[in-house]
Amino acid sequence: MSKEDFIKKKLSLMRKDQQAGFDDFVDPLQEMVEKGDVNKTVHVPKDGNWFAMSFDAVQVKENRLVISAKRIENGLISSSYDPSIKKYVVEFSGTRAAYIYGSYKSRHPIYGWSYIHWDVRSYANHPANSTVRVYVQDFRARDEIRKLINAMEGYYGTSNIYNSYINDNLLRFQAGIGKKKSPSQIEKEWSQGLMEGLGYNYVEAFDEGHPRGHWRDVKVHWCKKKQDFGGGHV
Amino acid sequence: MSDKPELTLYKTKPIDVLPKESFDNFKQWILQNGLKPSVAIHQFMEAYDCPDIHVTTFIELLEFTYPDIDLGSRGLRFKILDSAYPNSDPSQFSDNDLDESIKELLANS
Repeated sequence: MSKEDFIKKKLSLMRKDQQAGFDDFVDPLQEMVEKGDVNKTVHVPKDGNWFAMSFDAVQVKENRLVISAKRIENGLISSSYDPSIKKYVVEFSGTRAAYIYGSYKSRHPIYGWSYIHWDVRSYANHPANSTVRVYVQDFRARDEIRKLINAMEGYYGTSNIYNSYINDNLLRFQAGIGKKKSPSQIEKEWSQGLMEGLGYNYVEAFDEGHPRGHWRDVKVHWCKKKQDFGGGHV
Repeated sequence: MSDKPELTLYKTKPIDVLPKESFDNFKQWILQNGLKPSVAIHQFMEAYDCPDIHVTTFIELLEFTYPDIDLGSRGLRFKILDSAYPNSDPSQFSDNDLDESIKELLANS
């Protein structure tokens, strides 16, 4: 199938979908087809603060939009002032719909072990329609987390991970607690073998919100050695 | 369709390279001169000519200045990263949001 035919087919599908959010893309894309300019990047005026896209970037799949974007950072990077300090960054040009930022701490103030942590976003809600999720092609959170752990562990040699939960992760955790699951059970269900496959067999969670018991501020600690447990809820 | 670039708010930038003393100065402006963190970062961006400072550099500056507070608490680090502060949309995360969050973490540390 020629690129132009592919695009026409895609436009036809998008028109049939009639989903708010996707509708916004059809006219600018149609204009490009008519001009025969298939390689030009389309800026969608209404949502332009979030992403630019080209024809071959668009995938409409159920209630999601997948865009392609160039990775401008993709791994270990030296700190801005000390080259021996490394951070892990995956970022895309032109969009913040997906990213991961990892960092290392040489000492937990209470438990003493060194650890790595990360903040990740794997999709953004469409600005014009919050029920539509915008993903970035080839960014899968689990794969990116695995690469981050391997890279940071390889550089620093630590065997502790200590993450602060917010948004989807926090809601997922709180939902598990609501169903009377233990923190370990909740996290191992999330992991689906990812963490265990990397040697992190032990997990505990800390309820750092006030008052305790509501799990409003959650930290999750994965470790390879059981003796590194810090007294959280297993 | 507009031909104007539309990606102003969430522009991504290369990671910065800055002199070590710039970090010392940022810390001093806050801890000794009493500047609010938001004021200090804007002064920093002007002094070191880095208007598009990378968000991870800003996180490093905060960690360097406040080694004893956990920026991950109450989702602060995520909010900073997610909004790409200090080049954020203030409706998502503002100077005041930053200053109040830091004050709150310091009070509880």
